[in-house]
Amino acid sequence: MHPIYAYGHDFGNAETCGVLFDRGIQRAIAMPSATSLGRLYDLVQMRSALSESYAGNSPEALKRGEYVLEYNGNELFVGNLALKQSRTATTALGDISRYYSPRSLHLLLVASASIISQPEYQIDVVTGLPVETFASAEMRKKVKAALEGEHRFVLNGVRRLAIVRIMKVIMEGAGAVIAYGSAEDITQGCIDIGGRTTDLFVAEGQSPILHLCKGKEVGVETVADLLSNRFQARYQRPLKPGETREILHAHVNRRTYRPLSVNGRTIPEGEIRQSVENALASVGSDVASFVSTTWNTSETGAVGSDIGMIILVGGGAYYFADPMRARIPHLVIPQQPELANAIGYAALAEQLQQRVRSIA
Amino acid sequence: MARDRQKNAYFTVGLPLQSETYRALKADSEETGVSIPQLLAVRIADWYKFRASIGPDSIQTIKLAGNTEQPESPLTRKSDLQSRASAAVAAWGGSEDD
Repeated sequence: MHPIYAYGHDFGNAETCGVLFDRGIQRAIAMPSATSLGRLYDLVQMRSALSESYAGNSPEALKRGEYVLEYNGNELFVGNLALKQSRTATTALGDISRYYSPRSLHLLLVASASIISQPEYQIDVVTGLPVETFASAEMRKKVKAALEGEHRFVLNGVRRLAIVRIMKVIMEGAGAVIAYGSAEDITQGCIDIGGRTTDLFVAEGQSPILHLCKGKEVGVETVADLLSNRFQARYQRPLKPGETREILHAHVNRRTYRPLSVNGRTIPEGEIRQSVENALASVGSDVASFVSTTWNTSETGAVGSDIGMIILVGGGAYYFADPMRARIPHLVIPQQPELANAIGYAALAEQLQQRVRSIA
Repeated sequence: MARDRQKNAYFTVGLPLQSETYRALKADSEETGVSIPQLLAVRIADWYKFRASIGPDSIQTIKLAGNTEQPESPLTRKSDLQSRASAAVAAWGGSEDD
């Protein structure tokens, strides 16, 4: 009998977050939604040559937080390792079919296996789709078909088995309202700023109010694109995904940027900082005007004033809190906003498990 | 060392040899150099301190990212979360198979 966990899978454009409930403790992981073809053997050989010696395919060569997945005869670098070690890393940004792609399954397997110690396990999963695509029953079926089943794989050299059961597919943003909303029957909303999309979700209690739920293709990766384009215009080379990611993380954590070089010249930090601030201001204004247009119900310009509680979540919450707060004084930003949807999904999965058990 | 039954309680406990708990305990003992019986007492004390620090009704998140594993402060009260999730079951319907 395998251990069975309630699990929330939030497969974002930029980040994948997984949360599982394990005897009163939530275990959570966030990793870049990036994968690339790559072999553990080659990585071991390279690292062996650079410093220490590792045996042929030894997973000891991997650092903490690095993942190599073998599934269906393919070997892949996943997460940070894909961003760092491969020029061809892809997150399939903006591609709507990614929600039912093998990549979503790969990220689900790696994320769940990295927070579950048992080699064989079952996860009962709730996941989400963007507001704009959720209405398609066909899409929800495809997501279920892509993820569900018995999956044998090898993670970092260890054989694993994951039995995946999809309990429910709901709207992105709804998870956050389950995680941090009010238990009262009030009107409550969520602004979920992800890598590539911003989703607005409003519910009466937990029941969605569809005409107030909307999505737009703008998010943190839009800032990364702008940054890379401006860098290319000025210095004649684009920024790599790993570079933009590091710059944005350093900016939001108020750390010094890692030096960037072009043709042997180091770019002054002040120039990069100015570009980051300009790009954030430009995209922040775009996101804020989208929210204003969708939720503005008053001639005074107040936004969401008739929504009792508004939660700002997603990785974008770290970057766009200020322009959002300026328009919505009653905005609530939870700790670790990037995990909010996955926490709500896991809580819903646990409730659905109980319901299934009570019926059986 | 002689047992002081006026001062201490003594137990005989069994752990399955193949269990994850036993493997982790053994590794912990080797790493810290503390004997397994002593370590059992230390870890149980840790657990009760930990539970008291987060409150019986709170949820602790352990987030794994990059090279660190850090317990975060409690995110949301479990009873509230269950109540909202229960309302969500009603709002979103049963499982995908229903």
